Amino acid sequence: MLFNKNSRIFKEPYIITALIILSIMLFLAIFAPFITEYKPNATNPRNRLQPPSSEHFLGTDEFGRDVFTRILYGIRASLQVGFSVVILTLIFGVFIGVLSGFYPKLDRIIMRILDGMMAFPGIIIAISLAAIWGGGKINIILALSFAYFPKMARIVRSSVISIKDLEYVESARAVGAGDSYIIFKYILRNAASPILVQATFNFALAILDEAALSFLGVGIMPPAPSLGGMITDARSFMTVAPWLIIAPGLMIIFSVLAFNLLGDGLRDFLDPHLRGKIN
Amino acid sequence: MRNYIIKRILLVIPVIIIVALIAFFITNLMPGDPVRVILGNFATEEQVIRLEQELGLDQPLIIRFFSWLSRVVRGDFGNSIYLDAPVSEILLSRIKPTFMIAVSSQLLGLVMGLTLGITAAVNHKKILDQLSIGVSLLGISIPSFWLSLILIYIFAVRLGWLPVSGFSSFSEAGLGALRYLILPSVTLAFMQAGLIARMTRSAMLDTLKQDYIRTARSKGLSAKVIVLKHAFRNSLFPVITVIGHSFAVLLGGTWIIETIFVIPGTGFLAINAIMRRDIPVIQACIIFVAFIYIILNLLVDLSYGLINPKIKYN
Repeated sequence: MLFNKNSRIFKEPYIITALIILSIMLFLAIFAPFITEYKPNATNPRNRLQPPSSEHFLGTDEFGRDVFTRILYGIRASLQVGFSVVILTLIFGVFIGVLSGFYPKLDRIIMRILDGMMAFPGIIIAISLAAIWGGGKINIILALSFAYFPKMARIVRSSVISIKDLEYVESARAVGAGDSYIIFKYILRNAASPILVQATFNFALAILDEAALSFLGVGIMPPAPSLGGMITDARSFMTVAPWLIIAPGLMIIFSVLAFNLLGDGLRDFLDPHLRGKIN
Repeated sequence: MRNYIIKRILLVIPVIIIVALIAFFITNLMPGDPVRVILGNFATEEQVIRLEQELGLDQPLIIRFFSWLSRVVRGDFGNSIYLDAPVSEILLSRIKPTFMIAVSSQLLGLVMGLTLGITAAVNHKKILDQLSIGVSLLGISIPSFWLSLILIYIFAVRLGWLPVSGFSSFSEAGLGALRYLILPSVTLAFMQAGLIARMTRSAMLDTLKQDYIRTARSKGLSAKVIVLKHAFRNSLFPVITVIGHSFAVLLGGTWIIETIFVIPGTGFLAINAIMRRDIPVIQACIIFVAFIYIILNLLVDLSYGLINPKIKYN
């Protein structure tokens, strides 16, 4: 659906821009150890709070750690968290959404529970859960997935409902296809566009919220490098070393912007009717 | 219509119960035994058991939930572990700053968002469209905590025009209170504007394609009348919906922004309570946000009938 007509998708300006930014990010994240000669946690007290120089591309922080190196590893952490959250949200969201959309008896109960969960802004659920479980990469992945999956489940549910009574599903049933066969072969395949678009937006949101959690001190725990955590550290030295706060913020913006752009591009490319429904 | 309103209000009840359930279980999963926190490290086993009985913590979780819920329904969230006062009193005293910031950011965001969105739609595929798409995309992609720090650095630290942090109410400082409101509100409004502009643009684009717009055009109506009177009014639905949803996101944003600007509102209270594991306060703050969200979305749903009398609620 996406790549058999790949000649067209690569002509979409949003998608191209997003893919270029994201490939650069991915390259930096994967090859971080080869791009920089420093270790992300190697301190050098004699070299603390250095401004950008040829030796330290983006300067050093209050422990003399190389900021550029920490940013590379911070991007790595952001992308890891984002990717894991997207996968977990997909698994839970699709599972719950299909159950709810396909089996009307379960639907009423599930929808009420999801309504309740969606009454909380995601970031509030995530902050609370991350604080309870004590931060760390695994815990914030779980917390963010828990916060995001209700919306995904709703989107899957409404696609399933709009597809399940169509004639081709009925005819599949008439020739004796079972529920699981119909779900995987027909329904999920035709509900793929909104799911994919929402997953892309979730990636953006996860990076943004991971940064906020790490900034608040309930996300990725120091000394492990994270973009949000670097901003917390830089805050205390804002007057003497303002450059420390700029670079990690710009990296968050670039990656979030790229995923939002990709989401917009995919939505307009795959199904213009979705415009305004998923945002 | 009346049946619809009653039904819609009744539908809120199960949602509130689920909300309470989530707030209760999230906070009761917290590691660390509150009884041992209160009594300190040198408590004897007997003291622990006695206090557990006093607080009802020896009961099964589900029984504790219902006795807690019956108190919460009456507005009793218990006492704060650290602030030594009823939680409901503490929460009420903190609502004003949050309310001022949330409302001013929402208004500012609305003005910016509608302007951006309508400009974009009217100039579809022209440079102004691209520009406002860019700005609104930036609005939803910039972390608010980073933006606020940058604004603090420029306008408070460097230029010294505005205070770095703090809060003052209009009754204390008169118009001087505005000085404290500007930075936090602008930060949050930027994100709101992004959300609202994106929704307004796509809703307007859909409306501008409708037949009645073509009719209005062929009647020779001016562009201004067509855009504001015909197109905008008919694009209000999705825009109002996104306002209802995004207000909750805004309240979530105040948790972070109030912490940065040291504003004594509900968000600052919530983050501090989370850091200190003050469970009754956390529960109250979480329920407060969810409650506002539920009420606001109820109002949004009911307002559809006022905007468009053609809607029959079924």
